[in-house]
Amino acid sequence: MRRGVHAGAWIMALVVFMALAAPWVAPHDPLARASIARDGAGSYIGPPFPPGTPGHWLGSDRFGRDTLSRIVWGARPTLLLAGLVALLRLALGVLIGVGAGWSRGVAGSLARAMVALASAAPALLVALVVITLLGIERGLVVFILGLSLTGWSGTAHLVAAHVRVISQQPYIVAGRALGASGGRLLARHIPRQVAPLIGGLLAIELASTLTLVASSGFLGYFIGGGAWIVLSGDANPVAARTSEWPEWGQMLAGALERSLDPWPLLIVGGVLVLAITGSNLLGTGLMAAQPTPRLPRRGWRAFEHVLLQLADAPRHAVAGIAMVAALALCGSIWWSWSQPTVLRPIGAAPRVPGGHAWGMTGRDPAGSRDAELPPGGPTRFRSWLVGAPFLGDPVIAADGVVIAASQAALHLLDSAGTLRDLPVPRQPVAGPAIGDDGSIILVDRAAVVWSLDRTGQTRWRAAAVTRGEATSGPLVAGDGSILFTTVDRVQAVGADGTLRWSSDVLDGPSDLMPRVGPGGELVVVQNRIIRLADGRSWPQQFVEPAGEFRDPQLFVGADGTLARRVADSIEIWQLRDGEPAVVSQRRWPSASATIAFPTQAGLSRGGIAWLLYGAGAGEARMVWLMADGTSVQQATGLRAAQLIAIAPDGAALLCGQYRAAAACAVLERGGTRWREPLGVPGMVVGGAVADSRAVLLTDAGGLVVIEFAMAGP
Amino acid sequence: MIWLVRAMLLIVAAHAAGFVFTVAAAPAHAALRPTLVAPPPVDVLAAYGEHLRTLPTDPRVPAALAAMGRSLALLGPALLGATVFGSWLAGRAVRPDGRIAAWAAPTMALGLACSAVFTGSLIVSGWFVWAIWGPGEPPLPLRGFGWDLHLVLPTLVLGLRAPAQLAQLGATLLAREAQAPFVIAARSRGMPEWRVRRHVARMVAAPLVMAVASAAHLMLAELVIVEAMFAWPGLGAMLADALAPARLSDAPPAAGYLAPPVVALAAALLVALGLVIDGLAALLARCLDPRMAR
Repeated sequence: MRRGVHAGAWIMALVVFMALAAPWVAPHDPLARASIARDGAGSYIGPPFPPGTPGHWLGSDRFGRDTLSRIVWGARPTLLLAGLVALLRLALGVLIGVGAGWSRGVAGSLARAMVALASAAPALLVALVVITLLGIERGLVVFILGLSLTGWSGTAHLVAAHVRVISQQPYIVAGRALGASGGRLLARHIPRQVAPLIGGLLAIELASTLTLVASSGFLGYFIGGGAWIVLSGDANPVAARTSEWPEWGQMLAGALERSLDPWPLLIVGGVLVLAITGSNLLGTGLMAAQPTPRLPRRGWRAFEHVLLQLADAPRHAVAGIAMVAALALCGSIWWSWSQPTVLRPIGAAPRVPGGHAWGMTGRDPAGSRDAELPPGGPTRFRSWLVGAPFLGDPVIAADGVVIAASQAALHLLDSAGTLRDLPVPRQPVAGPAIGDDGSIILVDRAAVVWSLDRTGQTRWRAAAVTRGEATSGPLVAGDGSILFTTVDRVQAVGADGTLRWSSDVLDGPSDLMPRVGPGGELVVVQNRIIRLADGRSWPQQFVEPAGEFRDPQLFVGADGTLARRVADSIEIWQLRDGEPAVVSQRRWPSASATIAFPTQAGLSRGGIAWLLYGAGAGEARMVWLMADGTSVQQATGLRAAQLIAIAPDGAALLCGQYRAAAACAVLERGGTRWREPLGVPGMVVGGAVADSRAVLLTDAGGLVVIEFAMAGP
Repeated sequence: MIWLVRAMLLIVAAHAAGFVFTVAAAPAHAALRPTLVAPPPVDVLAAYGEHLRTLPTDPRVPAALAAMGRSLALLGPALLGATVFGSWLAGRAVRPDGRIAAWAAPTMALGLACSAVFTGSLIVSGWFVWAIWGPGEPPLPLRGFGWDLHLVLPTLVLGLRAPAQLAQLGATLLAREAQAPFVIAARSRGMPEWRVRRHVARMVAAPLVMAVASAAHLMLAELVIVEAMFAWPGLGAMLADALAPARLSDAPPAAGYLAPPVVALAAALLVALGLVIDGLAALLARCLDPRMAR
């Protein structure tokens, strides 16, 4: 038994040491994500890194976060949570247990009924119920309440039995006979008898809490600063902090998802089992040792006695003091550690070549959809109907002329409101772009690039390298070259119609436009980076974790930042010494509950990341992810919505269907500014915003111009 | 009689609480799914009344009872095995002089630490490793239901932690009894060891039965995890399907997801099972040790 206590104390001391010394012991930042590492043989590998990878000796999770660092840092929140829950359970269990064991009256019956009720309800289920009802977004507090609401029944049973035995002891009976009141006997004798149990009970509660935390993680109820949040379904958005605490239970639950890769399971699970074993050993050992305390009354003798006890059982004292110190430290570090990371923009904000108001699909080479949205609502709707479905976004030239492409023709709307049609040689694949010199550029389905002037005359045309269908329309880069994609290629044509390069980097056909990235030198498309100068692929390819579809897509923010959306999170990238690296990551905390990936994502000029869940039959939702880690979700009220333009402050113009009719809305973080039907048939396929006007196109040939009031209502 | 009334009250309370909770939780869960619209508000009392009225004809009741049968098929053997193994372990851990062997404490602490989440995932992981890098598909099926080898793995995982608990308690009881005056007296008079053991066994039987009941409670709590992990269609899987948010972003919700009657039935039946186990244990303990009847 003694050896068991020693072993348990050592294990717990190790855990506490990890918690205290995490910054000095952990080799990496537990939240830093490595996208690439060299294995023992020197070749590049992507996450998850297996154990034994140089620099990541215990491997990494599938996001490239170092397992060893996460385990070391994870000791803090794990200890804090388990410690607080154990303390609360202990307090409840001892109080109610003493009541149940001592009192023969109403209080005793009540306490016994409470114990019976608490032991009848499975602790895990009660925890889930409490957590869901109180709102998981309140984070740690809810978990502490949920986990400690019924778990105390074991302690109460034990304390009650102990107290019942004491209450029948001759000295208690004698005390009663001498006329001592019940309260006096209780206060005088019970605490001394129950006190020696406390250490052991605390350790046992610690063990059972750790087990319960892992179980709730398995069922999808995560802890760790609120990695999951409940957001209200109505129009009032609820903002919640997001962070990614490396809590052990949550880490184990994450490891469970990868059955084919047993290493994380073995390592994290091993640590957790070791910690539980340690606290069990300590607990049972202390309980079995239970010295009968004979505390002297008062004064110097009492102090001497405490000193003697400390000298007699240093291990107990050290373990206890270390545990309390760890809890206090965790509390203080909890706040200091969750400081928001500041977004560091790189590169300059993209510019539309030629100074046009809306130069191409997505406005600029970055596809930022960046626009100023005046605070007022719509004041005037004007609409036109053409005979054929529109394709993609319109463009707005520097002189205010709107140019849009339908299946049959080009349509030019001048500022006087007259609509003029120009024939197109062949059906375009998407909306037009407008060149540096004001020429209209189109890509047709057969992958031929056309340059037309305002009268419809062909200035030049250029065919692609390989035959095959074009999949996305023209993009005019800052250097004047025109980019488009065919099935598996990105191709570039110069401003004079000469073919510059053709790069077969794509995995498959996709209507995603290529985007011009940081500094105007790189092109991103799907999950690839290529050089704008020669079309060469970026030398280091980042390998995606196999086995799971997370739909990674690189994009460029309106502030010129390179970013990538992976499933429901947005990573901010930087190219450091030619190596791609994630600078920060923003995740929508309730993302694991989504049933589809976002249909659109981006970064506003003000550095606010956004996700739009627009697919499916349900109502589309917009999510804003701020640089300080908070997030806001907002129901759009629209079905099949797409984002047309986004202002620096995150206000967005969205169009979709509202009550089976085409409608648009301006949403901001905190509400819907306005929502109006367009009054034209069909679904919105594209739009552009400039000079407090929005131009919207539908697939039934409707063209609507909305004018906004410049001031708020 | 009072006990029976209290048990019925507890079951009804669990049923009502499960129902009301699920209705209340539905908007919160729906909000976790960005492309789902929150369900319309429900009048809880009217819905509960309607559910109670249709309860006799509700097809979910026989389904839940069948699920309880399948859960019992795991619980029974697991409990039996745990009792036998735990008692044997307790017997081995205590030396004739009443001292507990040195290996006992660490073994039992380790056993208690191996929760179903961990051992279950280890087995799942091991199964896949065997299937992919091993000689072929393992002889034991991993997931699903069947009155055959399908029973083995979930029963094993369910029954792995309880022996440690039982052995820990059993060893403490045995150690205390081994130092009792009647044992020392019997030994000194030359009573054969097996007869001494029989006397000791009668002394510890009643508390051990109560310990088995508490182990059964432990198993009931882990039923949710084990059944969800091994896709065993019992009460636990019913609850897990109804309450656990989807893990994969593109997975459609399970059939009973957030259905108030399902949660209510499963909660009521789980509580009822726990109460029946408690009642049986109390009865058995009284038969074994008449002193407890007083």
